[in-house]
Amino acid sequence: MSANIAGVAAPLDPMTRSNVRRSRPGWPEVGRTFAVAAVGAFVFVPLAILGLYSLSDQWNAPHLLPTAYTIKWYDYLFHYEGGLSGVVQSTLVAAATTVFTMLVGLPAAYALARYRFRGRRVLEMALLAKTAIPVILVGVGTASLFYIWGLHDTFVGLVAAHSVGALPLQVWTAAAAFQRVDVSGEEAARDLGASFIRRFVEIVLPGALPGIIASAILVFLFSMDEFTVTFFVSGVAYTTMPLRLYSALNSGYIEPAAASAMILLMPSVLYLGLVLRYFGSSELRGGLGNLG
Amino acid sequence: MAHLTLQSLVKRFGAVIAVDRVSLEVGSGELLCLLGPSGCGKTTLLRMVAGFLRPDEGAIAINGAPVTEVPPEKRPTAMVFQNYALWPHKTVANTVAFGLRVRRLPPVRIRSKVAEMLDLLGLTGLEDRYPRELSGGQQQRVALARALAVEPAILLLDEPLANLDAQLRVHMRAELRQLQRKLGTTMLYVTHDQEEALSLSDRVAVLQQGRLEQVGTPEEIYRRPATSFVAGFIGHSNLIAGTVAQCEGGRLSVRIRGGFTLEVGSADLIPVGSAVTVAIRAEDACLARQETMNVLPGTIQLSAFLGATRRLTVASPAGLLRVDCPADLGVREGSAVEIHLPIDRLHLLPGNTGPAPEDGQTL
Ligand SMILES: Nc1ncnc2c1ncn2[C@@H]1O[C@H](COP(=O)(O)OP(=O)(O)OP(=O)(O)O)[C@@H](O)[C@H]1O
Ligand SMILES: [Mg+2]
Repeated sequence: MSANIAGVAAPLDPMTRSNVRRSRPGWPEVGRTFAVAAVGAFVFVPLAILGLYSLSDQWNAPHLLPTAYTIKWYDYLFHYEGGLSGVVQSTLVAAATTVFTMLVGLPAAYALARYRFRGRRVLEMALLAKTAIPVILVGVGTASLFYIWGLHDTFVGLVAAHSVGALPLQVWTAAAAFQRVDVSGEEAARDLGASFIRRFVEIVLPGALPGIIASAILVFLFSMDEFTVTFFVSGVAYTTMPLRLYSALNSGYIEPAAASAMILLMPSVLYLGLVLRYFGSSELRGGLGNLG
Repeated sequence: MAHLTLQSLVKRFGAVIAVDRVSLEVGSGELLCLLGPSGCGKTTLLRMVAGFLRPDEGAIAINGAPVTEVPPEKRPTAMVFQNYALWPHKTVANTVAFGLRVRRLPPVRIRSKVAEMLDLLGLTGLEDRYPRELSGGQQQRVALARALAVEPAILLLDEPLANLDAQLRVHMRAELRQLQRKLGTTMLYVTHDQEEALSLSDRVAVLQQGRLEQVGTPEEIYRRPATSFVAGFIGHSNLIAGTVAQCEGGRLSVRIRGGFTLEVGSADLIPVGSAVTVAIRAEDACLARQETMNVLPGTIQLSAFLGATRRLTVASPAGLLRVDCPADLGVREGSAVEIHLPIDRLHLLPGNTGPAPEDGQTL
């Protein structure tokens, strides 16, 4: 009888459910805890070390923690004698790439999600091929083209190269978002006399908005992180965060590299925060609940 | 209010002919039901009228004006979708107001019209709810209010009650009928539920495999089915295949299997030897008392209690026959009986390609 009541109440009340689970501890429980701890260690220990490095002024062998702290490495990243700092440039390039990619990619994504049109296969193949070709090839190819076109080491060149790289990611993500919007809702609006623009703005966009925002953030993150192609198409005038990080490491400076890494991490943390907030946080929490 | 003319509409999907030369008139203020089994082309036909599908052949006219080339957003039709197609991010009030905003009505007019529609459909008080906060029946009414708000010349409904539970379906059916009477809107109503079609419509159009089988009032469709498909689809008919053995004076003798003969009244002269089907509804057949004409011997295979009546499935020389008898009649499965098929209840249909009586007719 009491088991029956618990069985009925469990699906309604998450508290009851977790209590039920907790009431029978065992080895799987220990294993799960251990797994979570291990994952945490793999992710957070290197991050913590990086964070400490980015703030350390003095950190020598016998000491477990830095003996002196400073923010000069961050300062270094924001000031650059050659022009705009890496942080500002990366942000500008990423912003421009995001805007451009959205302008080109959203219509393509919508078309892919809704229409069977001539050239659809070609578009799909092009988007797939882009992800299949080694990035280094793309980098070399783009660089040689950019030399001819005079786009090497220019802002436009960087944005173009990043946009080409980000487009497949953007289009697939946004197309999936559009696909989740019920076609019949769009038809109902059309049936009531709404023009294409109105249907798109009032019916499709609100439904697809979380996915579209996600696609924009992914493009932004992609651009902030992009290294290989950027390495080939940029020079002295334009250089992004990952390249500065690379050259700092090359010259034997771990601290500014660590500071760059910490800054590059910020948009990702922001993104995860947004995902938690807008994409079924309950599902994610449910997932974590299953782990722990 | 408007009348709708469909002229020999054809729609193909690859090799499938979804709608095959359908011509139909829906009069002003009429409620016409398109009735047919799943996959017979009802939705396809409706979507052609709404403008979402282009007919391969034929023409559609509203009030005599051709609309075949007019896109859905410009047609004076409004549709109620089977899944309601409500917008998850719009409240009830915003949903109903949508079509009015599209038409650029002044905000004051929109507000009063929305209030009027919500009142009409008993949705007052739910203005600020989102679809997920509504019951199935309420969602259905919002979909209806949204379509009716724009005062369409023709309202198209695609199985609007199919997703509701049986009780609510019957209730909403009555409400819809009253609403239609009140507003006088021309309605084309798709359903695969014969009871719904018969109780709701002014006329019923029976569709099968894309073809129109019969158009008529519910009584005509029920009492005088034109084809063996209609006879078999509506109600519970027994179809008995046979050939004309004799024809004279408004009466036919039809020879059926087992060497038996059925006498059928018929105004038409049908040549001897023609293949025909004799149809009789389960409720019209009965157990014989002392009749001698149109009596078939048989064995009761199944006796099912249906509440008001008892339905017998009887194995006879003409195949399995369904016979309704009073529920309290003491009959035992396996016992031999004689079935009487009254001459005035027998209905003659051309050809006997219809389902043979023994095929899949148990209840
Ligand atoms: N877009 C399409 N592409 C290919 N075939 C289709 C398409 N739409 C419908 N059909 C086919 O056309 C025929 C009629 O379909 P339709 O949807 O009109 O049937 P229906 O009478 O509405 O059935 P139901 O009662 O199940 O809704 C079916 O054989 C169906 O498979
Ligand atoms: Mg259908």
